[in-house]
Amino acid sequence: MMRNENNVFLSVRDLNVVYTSGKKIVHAVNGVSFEMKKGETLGLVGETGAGKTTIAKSILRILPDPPAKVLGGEILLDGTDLMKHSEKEMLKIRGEKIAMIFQDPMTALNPLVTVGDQIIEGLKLHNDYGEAEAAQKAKELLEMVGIHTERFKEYPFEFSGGMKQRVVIAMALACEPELLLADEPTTALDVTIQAQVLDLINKLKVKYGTSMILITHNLGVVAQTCDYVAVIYAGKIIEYGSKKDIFVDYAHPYTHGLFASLPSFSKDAPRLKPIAGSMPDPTRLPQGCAFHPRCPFVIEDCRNGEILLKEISQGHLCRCCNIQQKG
Amino acid sequence: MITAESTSTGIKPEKIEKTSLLLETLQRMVKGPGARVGTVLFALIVLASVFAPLIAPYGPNEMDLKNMYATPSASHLLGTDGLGRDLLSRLLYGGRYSLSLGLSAAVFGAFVGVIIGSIAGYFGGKTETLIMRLMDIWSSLPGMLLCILISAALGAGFFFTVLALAVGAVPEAVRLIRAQILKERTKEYLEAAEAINCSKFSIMFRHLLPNVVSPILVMMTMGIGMTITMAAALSYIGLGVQPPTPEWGALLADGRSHILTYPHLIMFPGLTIAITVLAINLMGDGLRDALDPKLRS
Amino acid sequence: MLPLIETRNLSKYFRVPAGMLHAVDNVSFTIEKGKTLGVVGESGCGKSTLGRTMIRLQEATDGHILLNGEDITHVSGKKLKEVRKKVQIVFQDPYSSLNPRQRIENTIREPLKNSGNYSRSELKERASTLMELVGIDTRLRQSYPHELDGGRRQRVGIARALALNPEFIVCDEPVSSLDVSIQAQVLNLLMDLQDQMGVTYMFVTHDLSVVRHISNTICVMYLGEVVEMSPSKELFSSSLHPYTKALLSAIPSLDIDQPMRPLPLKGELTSPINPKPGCRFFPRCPYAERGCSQEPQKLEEISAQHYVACHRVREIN
Repeated sequence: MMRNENNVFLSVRDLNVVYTSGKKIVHAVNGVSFEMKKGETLGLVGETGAGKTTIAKSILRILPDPPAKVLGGEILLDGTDLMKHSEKEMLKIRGEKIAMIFQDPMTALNPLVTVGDQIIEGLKLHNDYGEAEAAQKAKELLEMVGIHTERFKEYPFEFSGGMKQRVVIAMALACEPELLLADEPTTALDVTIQAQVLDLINKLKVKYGTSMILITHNLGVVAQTCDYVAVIYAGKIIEYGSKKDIFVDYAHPYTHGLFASLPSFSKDAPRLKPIAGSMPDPTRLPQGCAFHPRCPFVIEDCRNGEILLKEISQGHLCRCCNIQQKG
Repeated sequence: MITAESTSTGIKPEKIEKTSLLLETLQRMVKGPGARVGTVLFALIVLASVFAPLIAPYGPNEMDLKNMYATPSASHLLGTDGLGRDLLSRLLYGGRYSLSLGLSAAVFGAFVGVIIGSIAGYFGGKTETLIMRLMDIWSSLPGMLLCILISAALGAGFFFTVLALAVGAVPEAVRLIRAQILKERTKEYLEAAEAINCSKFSIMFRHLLPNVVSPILVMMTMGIGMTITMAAALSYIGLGVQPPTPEWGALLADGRSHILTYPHLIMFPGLTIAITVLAINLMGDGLRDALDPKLRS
Repeated sequence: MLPLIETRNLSKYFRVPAGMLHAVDNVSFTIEKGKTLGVVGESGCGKSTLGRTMIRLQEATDGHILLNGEDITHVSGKKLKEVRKKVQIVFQDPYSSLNPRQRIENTIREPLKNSGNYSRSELKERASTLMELVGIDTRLRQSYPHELDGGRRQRVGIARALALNPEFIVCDEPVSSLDVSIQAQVLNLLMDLQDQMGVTYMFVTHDLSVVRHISNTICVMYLGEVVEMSPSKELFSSSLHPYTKALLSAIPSLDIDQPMRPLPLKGELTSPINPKPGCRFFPRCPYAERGCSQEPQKLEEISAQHYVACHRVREIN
């Protein structure tokens, strides 16, 4: 696979997910494979519709079936294949071994239940705590994420967006999961609040040794929080590597395009360099490389056949016939 | 001229078909098996009533005095009533009255409700409060009772009966559409319409209304079943349409004293009403699912 | 030269059950023809309300708005209709800013129809011209919004805003809902349109990299007030107000060797309802001292064209 090392904690192999809508089939995830070590943070970067959220939800097996259908693949957590687990076994995994934070803090919390009770619910489900013990633990968690314990009995509507997201983080970390899936956790937040929340996530990661998969389209957030990065396009990983590989030595034309289209703080350009065209229709993906219709470096080989992920340097992989390595 | 390279989307779409929202909705509506059955059944019932003169074996008031109270047989498929009139033919002709009463009343009630509800929802403030409190008073009177009172007061006849039947539906329609408008009112496309100098009238009827009307359509469709039943009830107690009009409720009324001796006289009209209402409700369910934006994606 | 649009002490308050919400408070600036003023700030700073007030979707509570020297703050009726033809808006959300049941051709034509001056064939032709101007394939003219992607929908919104050749357009977070690669396309489009047609923009956003690229002048807002205003590049090279510093330091940098050092801000945003006198940033400011909460902060010109509303500005820098 990617790295031949032994303490692989999470291994996703050849994941394939489709959504069926009437006669149309949406190819959301098309053969995604990656590995993670304990304590690592992997960033899944891509634009809307690339398939990042589907990958995360597949790991937790919370994709609605129908319309989603996992066609194949293995998800090995500490050696056991989550795909082969029964729903009962998955219930023990969710919240306890793997937790997820979603994008919109406004809708992630139950508006009718106090914040404290929501944290307690998760605690009691996965542990043998009594009421008092669970309440105590919940208060500690709130304090850990920077919320006054007096707010234990308040309802979500009394919290701001950033505070709500902190509550969500407290809930996610309540049972000290080994893996945290964070789906655009700060996209809906103001930039100063985002900085606080990212700081919090980083500190907690270190404290608990949690591995994390961070899904985002914001390359700045990735640069500040991730160890490894996978760039996703049309349901496939098109480039994978360490932070340095992706931010300094990027190779895939799409990655080039992403960085080039960002307005810069230091350089002054009269016009930006966008990527021409738009994301392909996931019900009718192009032949060959999914990016080729938009690629400025397209060659004949790009239009046909399966393009494989190739290792271009130690740990740095790229799915391209005409690699344009920077530097 | 702005060049296509870095500003346009670049890729040319292959085939562009003109879509119709109406057609798409209808297609979605008949996807589910229940909705399909309901729609087909309802269509058949409507067609049977429309073409009653061609299908019915006898006239609706044609008396066959040698065959009174006849049980179903080859010559009278559903039997005859106390005056020898063929029940099947009366049901077919009766459908015209029952269906048109039901449809008119449901549509009229919804229409009035939509107008009032739109004014309340769009203008807000004191107008809204006044209208909603009036609706509260209106809906505190039991629907059936109100219907009976108005029918008794206005007297017999098609139009007055439609009015009586429609009255009960208005407050519900008003509430429904006002709730929809409250949800939709903050959407930006309405602000945009104001920014491009659309008149208030234009904003309300060309922009707002088409986007909030879906639940009303569902309510109206389900309401047809209700109004048909209520029309039958009115006839049953002697209000609404008058004999010898073969309205289904009237047919029920005719058979009530013979329920033990000639059950077919009450059974067939009852079944007809029940099946029609079932068909409409199945259709309405399909419509509601078809219009639900969440189920669409 | 007369600026195209000018605000003088513009304020917009809303009455809420808890009191008076100061959405926009005492905002004054000018924008010259063909230039772009960027307005940045986080949620609750009032930037969207400011934009809507300037194009008369909301009516100002106090102060004045001048278009080409003419006071348009409280005009109504026919005069308002005339004004609306000259000032337009592009909204943030390409999903909710288009009527879902209206074909895009009709959406684009509607401003022209409302002006009543065009025949059917003229309307069709003008719609085609506009679609080409913003880069939409005219074969898509009969599409419904849900059939198009976000980028194309936003272009429809831009075409609608351009229909009557306005002089001033408020762009309210026009690219925030779009993917990164599409953002760049739409930003280029807006800038090209400005070059071609000489239209003036007020660009409202929370994204500092975008605003730097597109604006000539930037003004930073906090809780309804302008706290700093300066030429675009200078704001980034030498920001002076503590809030601006905090904002800039919070942006996650693409430089992997430079870890972020965000300026620590205490607590959360305070309420814009019945605000206390004095600096509104006081409860969170890392440089706060007692005097800050007593005196209202006035915009002072510290260097050429660079205004700051902080009485400690010289000590801090």
